[in-house]
Amino acid sequence: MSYIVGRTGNWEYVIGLEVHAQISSKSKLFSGSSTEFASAPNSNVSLIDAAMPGTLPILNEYCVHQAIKTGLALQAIINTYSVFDRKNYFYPDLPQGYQISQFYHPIVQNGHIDIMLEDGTIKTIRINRLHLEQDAGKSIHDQSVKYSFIDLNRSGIALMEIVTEPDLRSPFEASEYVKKLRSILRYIGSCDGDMEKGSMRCDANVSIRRSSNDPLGIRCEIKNVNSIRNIIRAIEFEAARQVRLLENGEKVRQETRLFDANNGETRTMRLKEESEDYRYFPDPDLLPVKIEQSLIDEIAKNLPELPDAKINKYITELGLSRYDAEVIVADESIAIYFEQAIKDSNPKIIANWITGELFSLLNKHSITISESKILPLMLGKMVKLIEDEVISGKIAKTVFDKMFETGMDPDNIIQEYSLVQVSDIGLLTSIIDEIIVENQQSREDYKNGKEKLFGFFVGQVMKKTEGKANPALINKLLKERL
Amino acid sequence: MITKDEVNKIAKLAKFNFDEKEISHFQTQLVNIMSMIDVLTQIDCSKIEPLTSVCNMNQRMREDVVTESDIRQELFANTSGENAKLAKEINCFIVPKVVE
Amino acid sequence: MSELTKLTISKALKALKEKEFSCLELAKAHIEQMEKYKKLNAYITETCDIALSQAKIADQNYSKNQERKLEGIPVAVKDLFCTKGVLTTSGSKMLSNFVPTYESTVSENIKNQGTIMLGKTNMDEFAMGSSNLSSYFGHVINPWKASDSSENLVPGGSSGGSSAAVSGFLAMAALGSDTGGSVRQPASYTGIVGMKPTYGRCSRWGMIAFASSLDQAGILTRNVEDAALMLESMMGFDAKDSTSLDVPVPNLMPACSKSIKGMRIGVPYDLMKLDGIDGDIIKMWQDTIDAMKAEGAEIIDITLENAKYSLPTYYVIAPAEASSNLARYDGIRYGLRPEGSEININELYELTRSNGFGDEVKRRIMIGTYVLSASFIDAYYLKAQRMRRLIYNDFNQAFTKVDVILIPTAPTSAFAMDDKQDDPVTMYLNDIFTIPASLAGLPCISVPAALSTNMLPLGMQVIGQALDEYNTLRVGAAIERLFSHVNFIPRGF
Repeated sequence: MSYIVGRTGNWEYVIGLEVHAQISSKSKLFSGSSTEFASAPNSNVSLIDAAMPGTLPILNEYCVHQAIKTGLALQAIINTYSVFDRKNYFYPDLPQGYQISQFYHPIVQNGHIDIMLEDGTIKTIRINRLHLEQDAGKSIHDQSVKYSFIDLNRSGIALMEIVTEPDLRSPFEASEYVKKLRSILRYIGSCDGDMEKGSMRCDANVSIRRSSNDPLGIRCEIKNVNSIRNIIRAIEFEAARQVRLLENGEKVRQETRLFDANNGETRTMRLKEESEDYRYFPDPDLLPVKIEQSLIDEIAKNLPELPDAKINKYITELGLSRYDAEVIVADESIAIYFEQAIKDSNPKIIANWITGELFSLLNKHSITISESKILPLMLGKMVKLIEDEVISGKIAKTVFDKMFETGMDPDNIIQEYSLVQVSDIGLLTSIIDEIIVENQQSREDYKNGKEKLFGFFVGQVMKKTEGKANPALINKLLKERL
Repeated sequence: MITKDEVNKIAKLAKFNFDEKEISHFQTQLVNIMSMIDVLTQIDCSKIEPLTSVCNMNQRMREDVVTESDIRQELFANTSGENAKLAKEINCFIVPKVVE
Repeated sequence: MSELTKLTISKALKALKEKEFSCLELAKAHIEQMEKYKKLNAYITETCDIALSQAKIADQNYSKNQERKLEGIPVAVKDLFCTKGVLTTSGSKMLSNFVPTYESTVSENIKNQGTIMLGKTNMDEFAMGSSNLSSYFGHVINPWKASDSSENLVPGGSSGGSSAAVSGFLAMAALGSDTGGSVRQPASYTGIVGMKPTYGRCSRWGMIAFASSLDQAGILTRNVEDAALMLESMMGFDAKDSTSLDVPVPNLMPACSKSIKGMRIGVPYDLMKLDGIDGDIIKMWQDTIDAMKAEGAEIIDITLENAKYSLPTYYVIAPAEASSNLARYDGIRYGLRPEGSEININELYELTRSNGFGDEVKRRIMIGTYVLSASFIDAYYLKAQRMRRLIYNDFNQAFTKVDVILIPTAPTSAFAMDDKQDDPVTMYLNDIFTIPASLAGLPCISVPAALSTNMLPLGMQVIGQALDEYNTLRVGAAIERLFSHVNFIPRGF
């Protein structure tokens, strides 16, 4: 349990998250404009997107399918009947003067995501709804002193708004939820989850209370939180701010606040004289969306293996630790790599090489796993060579580095650099005997109790074999011969 | 009975700027019209489903293909006011500075 | 020359084919008439140059025997249909500088059949009104005058300009729009035919929206056959409109000559007892019923139980949708942007909207905003939608017993312009007979059927089942035949 320690005692966090995820469609939700990032403002804007008089919306089928797919991945109920409602308000980046959204009958309801807490237990975070809505345009405020410029390229792009119940109880839980959600969205391909680019955005609803026996406190909505790190910072600041207010005998005012990434603080957004009345009503230019159960079944059938299922499989079937499983599954490209690499070799050892040596090299050279020269099957072969005792773990490190550098097959590397492990007992025995002959004094000393000298002999064998002697055999034979 | 306060609130929601005289004028008219409409509140149709459209069909969907192109010239053809020229030059719609 | 403007479309097409005169002559005759009767103020924008060049092309098509279905027919277009490159104002100061870069589907459809556009007609602002008294571009004068007065009369609305144009021979047909009666009521007031097809038959793409679930393009002509001909070209599925019906366009012309013998005509006799209906209207209704009986039609008494709630239902739903549809008018991307509005964003919104919209539009936006507001949405908006279903069901119920329904179009004849109907509610009562069919989305036509005691035209309305434009026109044409002895040309025209 995470608490804010106030002046007068502990306070509990109560957090709900609203994530807006841009759907990976080629065209917009209600118009045929491109959703591709365009550097030129207003170059992906159609008559419909600009709300020209007499223009009308038509629904993009792909977006509906992605919402269904995401709903299924969130273990939620897909509503076979849903409606688009207008959310009416005035803002320059909202050309219609209303946003087409879903209020009364969203397409998805009642799902959940499981996260792992710091102590290893699993907590279920309930998802209230997922609905489809239009994204707004962008306002550019910093190009002029007197004016703001409006770019409608983003206006009308499809969003899935995913809303949790206020089940989160710490900034850590919030970050884990967002990470898990992002991972799921990327796995199923409905959204690329790129928070930096803005294709996934998060608003946090934060309130505090003394304990879970108390009713919910007044909450504030924090907007503009564009990274996992900032989610944590924003929640921490906001909760602390509310604690200070309440401990000073003041009240928390229900409002929308903006997070300032520069100083880690939240501040009141444009002052609203009274709360907005959005006057939601069904959009009369659109008709109800009826979805056949057969479509839902078809989409469910084609759903890829989801992160949690994969993690569990790695743990129970492949014997990985939860930590390794979570790390590998977190990035689908790594999971794919891993699953190819383990074709003929030990998954645990593969996992170690990936999370250890490979990650270290990838980071050092700032490349992704798909860009590395070590193909999955090559890693698999290398590990098999270790298992078959053709090379030692130590030699493998050299082989690995060479593979990374050159992209050569491990077999070829071993041949080229004569790295095959020496496991010939006869040969090793004769080498050992040679060394003993050359180091009679040390042998005497060892036999008289200087146990440390064992290492010296191991070293000598390694030197004579250029590091290629089988370490296990060295130990065994030395013990016999000394 | 619709109060002046309510009329003011509605005007603000609709982005109208009315003076005292106009508020009074609209208040009278709204009260009048609402009294004609109020007969609806006396009827019980709670068991009836609302009718949102006379079209007996469901929403049609279109394929996810890009069918529109860059029409910036058209988009800015109807901008007017003192910033129209600038808007056409920078291909952005211009509004007085918005403070968030 | 002026005889050319008196022709029906069917006759004109035949004459053009037989080279009795050219399309250019036909267009010029109309342009002359427009000049002569400018004072009616039927047109906001005259497009004579466009008309003449279109006429030339039409003549070429005739000479190559490549004439299209409506080749060379001069028409007027209500100013809420976006016409590419031509000013489109929707009768409002807000759009007094708006030139669309795109064309509405319906005006495109008839253009593709060779019609010639004489101009954009005057209308109540944003189609809200039934008198054409709320246009930013001034009143439209009805070509008709009462026999006992020289006062100017309203043509009705909101398609006042379109109706006056057709009635005064300034166009052979005019596109209009009908949301609560805006094609039928002015047709009745100006002694011409006005028809609104089933909701969804005509595309709403490019039609400046008033109330989306009610708006429908309609046609104004001087006879029923012309209306059928025009509608055949106007209607049709449009993928750009989600509410467009994907059904084939029927052959409607044949309906105009079919007998109504054996048809079951529904008459809601209880509506005859409503307050405010002129005696002349009741007489016309009765005379029509009798004439139809004589033709072999069966008259059946029906009850539209909830019709009496149509007015409040409509005046909740239409303003609600309008308040949202008109939110896009903020001066930022198009439309009025008044001087001195660049102070701050809120000023921009408020000045533009307060300045750009007239009184009636503001009133309806206020009502719409009110009934959608959080505290009232259940009591009014949802309630109105439930009532709408009851009214819809009433019609369905009636149509199990009858083929069409016969009621007057309007409770009175055209009223005087100076009859300042200050009270909006009184004004709204003008729509009492037209609103029910709008709420149910049914095809309906107004046909001139009698003259009032003071010699003003009165219209009978026929309402058909959904998608049954055929029988609607059939009965409309029958009424036209039954009263063909009445002179429905305004005095002096």
